[in-house]
Amino acid sequence: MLHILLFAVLLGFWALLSGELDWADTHNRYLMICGIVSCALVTLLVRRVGFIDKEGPALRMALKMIPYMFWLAWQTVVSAWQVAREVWRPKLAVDPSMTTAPYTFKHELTVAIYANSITLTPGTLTVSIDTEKRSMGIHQLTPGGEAGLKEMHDQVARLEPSGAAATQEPGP
Amino acid sequence: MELALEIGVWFCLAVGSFFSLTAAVGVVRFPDFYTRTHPAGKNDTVALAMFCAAMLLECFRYDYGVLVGGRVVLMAMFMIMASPIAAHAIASAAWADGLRPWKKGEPRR
Repeated sequence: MLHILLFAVLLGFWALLSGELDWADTHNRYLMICGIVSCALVTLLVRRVGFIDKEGPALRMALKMIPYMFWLAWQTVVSAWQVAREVWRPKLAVDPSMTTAPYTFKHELTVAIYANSITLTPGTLTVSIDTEKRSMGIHQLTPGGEAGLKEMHDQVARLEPSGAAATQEPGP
Repeated sequence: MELALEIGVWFCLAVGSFFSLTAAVGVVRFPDFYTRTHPAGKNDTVALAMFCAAMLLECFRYDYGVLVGGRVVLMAMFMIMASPIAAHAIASAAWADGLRPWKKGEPRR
């Protein structure tokens, strides 16, 4: 089932990038057949590697991602505005410091989303991720940047599918 | 309608240019590597998103269709996702290499 979906997404992606969709034209027909064949080939290879089994949780997250994306977009604009204020201040007043943010996510993907979101929110930048202690090192531009992190952690935790498997073991 | 689109395009371009310029000035003004990564990672993301929004509006205006507009959306999504990852990647490399963050009162680096 997931493989059919992957094939459909690949076809759509290919069609969007190619744009040559006139079946009557022989040259376009050749290109389209090439596209279909390569999409099928990629799907078969992915199936053989067994890569798609790990992507299941990501798919279940996809719908919940949409409102989160809007929220994050707004946070990014606020963040850029705050940095801009610091940049244009006549006398530079940045007071950077390091802080840590613990996290409780089970999935690699949610951890990555959280790290990415921290980088995009006001005055904070993810510098290091410690998967054993389950916390991130954060560099902040001005003091008090960690105030919004708790709220963000809850937002990201809501994305995580409830019956999700534990973190995957690291690769070879 | 035409006028509204024109105003929208110019607004997006103006805001995007402002943030792009801010990122450049920030990289020059800020005191050390980590603080410089902030404007480079954030303001550039917003600037690119605004430029892509302007391009999307132009696609509507000249009726370029789904193919061109869809490519613009894909480009915007990729850049919005890639830019914080790049910022994190270089910051994490600097951290792993042992570069200490600048503290207030120290000389600029």
